[in-house]
Amino acid sequence: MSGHAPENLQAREATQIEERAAEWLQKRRYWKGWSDTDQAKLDAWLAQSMTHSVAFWRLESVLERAERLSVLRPQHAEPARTRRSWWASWKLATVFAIVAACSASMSLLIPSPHGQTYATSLGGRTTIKLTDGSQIELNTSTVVHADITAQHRLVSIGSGEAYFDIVHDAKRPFIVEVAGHRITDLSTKFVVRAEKARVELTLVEGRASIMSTDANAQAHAAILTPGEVAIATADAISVEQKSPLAVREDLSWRRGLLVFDNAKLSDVVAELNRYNSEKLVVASGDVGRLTIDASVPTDGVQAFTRVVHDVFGLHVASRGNEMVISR
Amino acid sequence: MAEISETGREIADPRQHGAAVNTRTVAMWFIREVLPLEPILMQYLHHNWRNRSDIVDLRQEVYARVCLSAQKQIPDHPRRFVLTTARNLLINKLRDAHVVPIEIIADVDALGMAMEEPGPDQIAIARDELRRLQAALDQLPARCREAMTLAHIEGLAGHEIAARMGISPSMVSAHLNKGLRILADIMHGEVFTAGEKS
Repeated sequence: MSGHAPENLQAREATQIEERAAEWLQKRRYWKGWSDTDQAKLDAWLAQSMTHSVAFWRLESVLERAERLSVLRPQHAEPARTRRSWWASWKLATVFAIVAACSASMSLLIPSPHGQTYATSLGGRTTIKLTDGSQIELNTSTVVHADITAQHRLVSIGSGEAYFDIVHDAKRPFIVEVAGHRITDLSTKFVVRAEKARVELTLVEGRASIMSTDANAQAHAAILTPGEVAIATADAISVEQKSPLAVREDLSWRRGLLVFDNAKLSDVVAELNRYNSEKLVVASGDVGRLTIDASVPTDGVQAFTRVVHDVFGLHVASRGNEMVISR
Repeated sequence: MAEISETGREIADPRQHGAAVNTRTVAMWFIREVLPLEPILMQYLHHNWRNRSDIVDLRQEVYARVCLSAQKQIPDHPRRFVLTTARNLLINKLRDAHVVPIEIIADVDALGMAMEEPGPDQIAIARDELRRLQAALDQLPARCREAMTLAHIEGLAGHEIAARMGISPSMVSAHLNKGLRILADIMHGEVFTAGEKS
């Protein structure tokens, strides 16, 4: 619109534009039958003037935020009873996972009365395609249970780390339960890592909320935007912002790679140990504190020890099933 | 303020001349950096513009100018940039109306400096978000609130809401439309006085 002259807005024009923007948004969000033609018309309207775009974005951002209200939706039929029986099947699943570790490094599938359990062994990695179109990528030593029905989508992480790429469905929020916390997606890509008393949730795209479900712990919750990392323990959730690069590096395991940027040797070793049966040990604290930039294949223990030896002049010695790194 | 090139006159749509920054990036930046400044912007406009009925137009105009500039280059200091844009717009308006501003419009530099400080704790905001949304819902007119609650908490689609409320789809549309707009005013920090939206 070359003739677009913002100073000469008629009074109330902004209100008319806002009404039109709300009209598009609610048509798209709340009613069935939004078509490509509708989208094309909307795109054309948005392209007409920046005033249209800003009014639309302003309302759209609130609509997106309002999606968080879905966490208040009553969860149909998720009583404690079924959950306890779940945990019983969980323990079984974990045992199976350990058995699997001895055989192939493949995912294991155990059907159960409520959904299916998937597991990877040490060093394993696999992608699960769920019936709703969502995908879960399991990292090393991971156990998840997926219960996807026409009514609900519930995934539980027993242990390990998983990357979620969720197909949004407003009527069926995608819920991930992990160590006393519930993560609810709002059209999202995210990665969850479960450790002993700690859950780490990194949001890659979209929005997700995490809240505690442990009745004994003090209730806490956080809503994440892309690049934010929530670290949840039994009694607190802290949120920090990561750079896009750092997030990419954290996800490099999906390509079978571990990327470290100015990391402590002890942290690198701990990370490699998550993937390999041949465990690395750092002999002393001062060696562990050496910092290193590295990009290592998840199964690259040998390559890594060679580099440690050649570049840093450290000694690497076998001791039983361990490799000890020392000066 | 040498780093700010906003002149208040360069308003040609750069999409005509090949924008340097893609629209999605501008939208993300606008939502992330500019919209949270709405309470400050509204306060500034209310302080410096007598005619209340112009305020919504002015706000939208500021947003449009800021985003047109962002298409060329994303500004480094959003707070300053938004307020400077607002000031320039008001000055132009006064000039066009042949009104001589008697009192100088509030010193954006001072405002900008104070406002470049980190905002309230982002984590606290995230934790409060759900509570804020609930409180905002509570402020909606009854039928609007009912429609929005059915849509967002119950997860119903438009026709289901119509059936549940016993009203026509077009009435549901009207309630949702209005509900969304009021919610935007509340969530972006403007104090809403009942009856303002029609």
